[in-house]
Amino acid sequence: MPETFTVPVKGIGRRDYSKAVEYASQPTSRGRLARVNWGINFNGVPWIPFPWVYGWKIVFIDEEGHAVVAAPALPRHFYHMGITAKRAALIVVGCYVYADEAHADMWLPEACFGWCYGYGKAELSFTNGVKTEEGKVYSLLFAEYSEEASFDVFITINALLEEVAYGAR
Amino acid sequence: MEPGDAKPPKDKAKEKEDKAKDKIRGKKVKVRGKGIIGDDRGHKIEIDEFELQVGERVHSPKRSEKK
Repeated sequence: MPETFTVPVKGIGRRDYSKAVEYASQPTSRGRLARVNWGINFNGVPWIPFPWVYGWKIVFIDEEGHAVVAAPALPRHFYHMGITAKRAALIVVGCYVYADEAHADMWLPEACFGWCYGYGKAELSFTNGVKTEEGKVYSLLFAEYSEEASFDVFITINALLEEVAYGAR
Repeated sequence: MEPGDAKPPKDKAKEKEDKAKDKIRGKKVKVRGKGIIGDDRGHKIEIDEFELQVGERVHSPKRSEKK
């Protein structure tokens, strides 16, 4: 006769996995849009005849907080550029992109974002934004065509900045 | 025009205008003012003096302007 024996029972129900728990870190990327604003007051700008314009190279703030002319690596999305003059005179605002600073000095743009004329106020709006590319120079163009010796204008530029943070969660 | 004929006179007014344009193009002007650049990350830069450059609006020539 074969010998019979009883299999000992260890615990009842689900197996206990509590001793096999491990902690793991999973890398994640988080993105957010930060706002960037420019508010600029140009005072006593000399008169300029139509259709000449003044160009100002837009200054960016880089990751370390320094002012730079060439667009930094993190892209900005321009969505609004507006100009307001003290007088109700014909004014214009526009924006050009240049390959680098040398091309900006020679006034040889790669592309134009647009032009907007108005009396006392002119605004350029980009519904889907204009994305900046690293190293390119963006120039804001403006003029006021009153026949006075000088003019004052106030310019606002609004953009969104793509920020991506990498970390473990 | 036959070969050897005198050249047609240049448009003096056009020449004068081109010279005036060359004089003004690329001219740099220092302007005083106040500029504040800021972002959500807490950076802020203030500018008191700006360098502006004079230029002409660049446009693609119309069909009638093309030669």
